[in-house]
Amino acid sequence: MRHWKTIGFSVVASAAILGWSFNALLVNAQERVVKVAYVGPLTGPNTAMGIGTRNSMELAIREANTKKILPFKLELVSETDDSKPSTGVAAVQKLCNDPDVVATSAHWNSPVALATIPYFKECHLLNLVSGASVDALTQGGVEEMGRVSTPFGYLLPHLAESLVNRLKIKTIAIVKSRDAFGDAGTTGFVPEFEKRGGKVVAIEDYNVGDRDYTAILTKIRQLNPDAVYLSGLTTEAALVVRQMRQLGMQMPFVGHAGWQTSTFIEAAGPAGQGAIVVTSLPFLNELPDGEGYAKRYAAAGFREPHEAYGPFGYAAGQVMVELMKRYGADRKAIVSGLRKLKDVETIFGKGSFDERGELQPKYVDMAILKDKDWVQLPK
Amino acid sequence: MNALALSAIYALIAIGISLFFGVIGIVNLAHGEIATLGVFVSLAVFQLLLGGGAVDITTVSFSVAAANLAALAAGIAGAAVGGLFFYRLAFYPLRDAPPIIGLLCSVGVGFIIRESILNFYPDGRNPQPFPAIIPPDLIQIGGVIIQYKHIVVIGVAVLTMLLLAYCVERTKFGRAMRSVLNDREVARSLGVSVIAVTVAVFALGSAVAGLAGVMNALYYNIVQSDMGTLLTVKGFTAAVIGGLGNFYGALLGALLVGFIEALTSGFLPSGSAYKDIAVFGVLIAILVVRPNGLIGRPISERV
Repeated sequence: MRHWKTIGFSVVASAAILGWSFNALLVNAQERVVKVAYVGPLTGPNTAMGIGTRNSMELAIREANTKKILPFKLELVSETDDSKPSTGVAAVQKLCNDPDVVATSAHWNSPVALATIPYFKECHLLNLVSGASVDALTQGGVEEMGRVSTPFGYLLPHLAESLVNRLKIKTIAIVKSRDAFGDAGTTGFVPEFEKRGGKVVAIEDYNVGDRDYTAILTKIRQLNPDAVYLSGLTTEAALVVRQMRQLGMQMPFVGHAGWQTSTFIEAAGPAGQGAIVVTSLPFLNELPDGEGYAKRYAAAGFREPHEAYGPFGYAAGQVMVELMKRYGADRKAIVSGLRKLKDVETIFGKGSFDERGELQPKYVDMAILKDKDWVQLPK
Repeated sequence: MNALALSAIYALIAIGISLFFGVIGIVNLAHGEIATLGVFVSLAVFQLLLGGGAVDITTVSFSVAAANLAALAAGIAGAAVGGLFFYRLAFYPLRDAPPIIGLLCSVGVGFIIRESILNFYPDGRNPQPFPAIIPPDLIQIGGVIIQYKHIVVIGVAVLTMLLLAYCVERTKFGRAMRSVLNDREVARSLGVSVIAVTVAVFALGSAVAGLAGVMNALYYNIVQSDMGTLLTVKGFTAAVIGGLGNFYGALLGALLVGFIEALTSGFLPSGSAYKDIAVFGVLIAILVVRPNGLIGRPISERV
């Protein structure tokens, strides 16, 4: 009897052990899923940019999954910030509270990116910025902040240099939005322009959403500067250039990548022709993997174009994959690994992160609107 | 000239807001959205008839000119129909409710219109080009720049206001409207069909809002689905400054708002950023001195 009891016990125990092992195997087979996130303007006035960047990041994630670079499956979750700081903060808080999310690339608008820094810091979540261009984002010593895109610090000296020495522009009037973005585009530009012998003849503020610029343009018209520089975003840039041309102001209209959009081309119409911007977006044919990216993006079946910031979304995805490959899918390990990441291969070629968390080297170039396209300004 | 053109657009919006308040007793905060609805109807017709191309009205054939006018007329008609639809749907059932309910309801109507436009123009929050059918030429007299678009917008607005003034002062409908405006009960007892007057005023006010929207679109050549909010705020401010319920008050208020904006932008350093502060500062100052607006009548609650 006792013998039978022992046999029975052994059978039950063996079955239990087998079952447990099988279960463990099954879990492994089902694959662990790790999430990374994109937060940006998926709704609101800058939707096109947000969606293009998000799709590009998605492309990098899909490719990593297909190539099985990581021992788990990566999934991209996305949240909209509606280009508003309050919506951005809510989105980041939501991601902070999701333990499966290990890294984020967030915000195209600088005021939104500035607003969410404390939340990323608090939950030790990496924000590898792929759009917002205010320098301050990576200057506050917050470990959780990094950037693959090019900040104003790199753009604006190049703009000043090109205007003075290439285009021979000596006097300029600035029309700027009255917010962190417009301020950054101005304070970073003025000293650089003046240092090279340029003269700023007027600085005029406007509120985002204004439609009528006739009064300030009439003032500027009387000063007859060599160029008008718009430090703001697409809608206002389109309105200003249209109203400038209607007032007979034919001087060059210059700016930065903030309004280097396809929407500007549509909205500004013929008035936008010849507009010149300093761009952080490398022309794809100049990038080691630019054309390959464009082909793969087209083949991936996204409905929307990748837009100007798409390559940065793609690079953000590539860097995240590399970080997880080297340091594992852990928030803190990813954050501390960023500044140690050297020789990382992205769409921009081989790069490294500096002590501020900026991917180096940064690409800067000048673009001009010709027909229906932003093309490289002839050197 | 720019100040006058701005005033003209604001006046067309303010008239509707003012009349709705006077005759129907509602503060319609969806008025700018009705104008936007008109703009997008017009844009759709433009795209249908001309493939959306920007066509200068002076350099093209009769048929294209007719198509342009048809598109503009469609915008005005679209706003009128839209206004009536929302009146029947939302405001008419609430006609006996306290004014605050009507006001809240109009906020809702505004949301519905804004979001509905996005169903047809998913990218509507981004700037959409509106055909530039007014030639871009300008005339300079001394230091004053006059653009053709100034002449068109101001001309159309003045003509519309003269017609409206004639309608209010000289026609049977105008008399009926004024009687409802003065005292609804007395008007009713005198055999005026209050409901007919109300419906006609709503259609007329919405059509004029549509006209304002279309003029705004022709003036800036860029439209957005959320452009109505600003129109409502400016039109409402003009109506309140002049005195809610008063046709001529709305005109005066619009002139003031337009000129304060242009002068603040033109003469203060970085004035464009402070023009709204100037406008609302003046609004507050006027309301402190004259709580019913510049030429408004005292508002007494109906009991």
